[in-house]
Amino acid sequence: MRLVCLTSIVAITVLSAGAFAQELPARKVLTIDLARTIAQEALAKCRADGYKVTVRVIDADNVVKVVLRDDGAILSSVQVAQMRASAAVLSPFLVGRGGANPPAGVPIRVDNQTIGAIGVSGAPSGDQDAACANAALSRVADRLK
Amino acid sequence: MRLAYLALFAGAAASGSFAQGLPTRKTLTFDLAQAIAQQVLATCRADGYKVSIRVVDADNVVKVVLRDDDAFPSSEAVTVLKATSAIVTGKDSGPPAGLPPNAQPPQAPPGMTYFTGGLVIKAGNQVIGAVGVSGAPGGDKDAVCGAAALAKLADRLK
Repeated sequence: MRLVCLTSIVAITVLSAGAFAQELPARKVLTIDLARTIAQEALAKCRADGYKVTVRVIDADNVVKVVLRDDGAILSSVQVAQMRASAAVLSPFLVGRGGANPPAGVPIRVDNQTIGAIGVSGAPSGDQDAACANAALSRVADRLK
Repeated sequence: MRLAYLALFAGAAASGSFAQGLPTRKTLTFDLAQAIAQQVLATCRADGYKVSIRVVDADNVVKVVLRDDDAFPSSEAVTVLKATSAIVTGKDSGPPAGLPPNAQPPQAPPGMTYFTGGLVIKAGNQVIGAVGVSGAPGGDKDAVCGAAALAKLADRLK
């Protein structure tokens, strides 16, 4: 009996040690270089479309990485871009839904992991804002890995 | 007599300030604001510091924000205080003048700070914006790399 107990303890200890021996999980993080590129691409796309916008890129913790407000972008676009970007990481279930929900920002994903989000505001409609955000993300798709 | 009035009126209108149109002021463009922010980021990196940068226009409305990798998250909030202090006072942020050496500065007004690292952006004598830098250990180091970056772009500040 004592032997069984001892064996169990040893087994548990070994198992626990095995669990601890594994490294902590890592997650991919959004870098300033990529965030800046995404923001610049979105601003450029909206400029090409004729819209003056504010772009905000945040990381997965809802902390800002980049904000760009183009000349002539309306002042409220700063606030709205923030709300949209935050909504994309704080309330992912809102993203992509139509109906009563305002257009949210677009999450920046690597595999299935959200590493940040982009919020655009300033174009006459939210769809036009979202088009700039999506265009920017597709331009950097090869770097999202 | 009527002719005289008319002539007087016409003369006043032509020479008065109304005829010249409203005054103008120089504005900080997005392109210059972005160049400033990127220059500050690069300069602080070269000094070994990861910082957040906020460039605002003369109305303290944001133009560009950059937070470098590993710049601590709350540094962004400090850049808001520093930029606001520079815009409100019209000069670089810092402890109030006339403070005795080694004295603790009084509490700053709400939304402002006595830390250095908030720098006005001037075109000639006109304040066209401000840049707030935060993240280096000590506001003085923020101010140094911020000022160095602005100096590099001096030829565009006119």
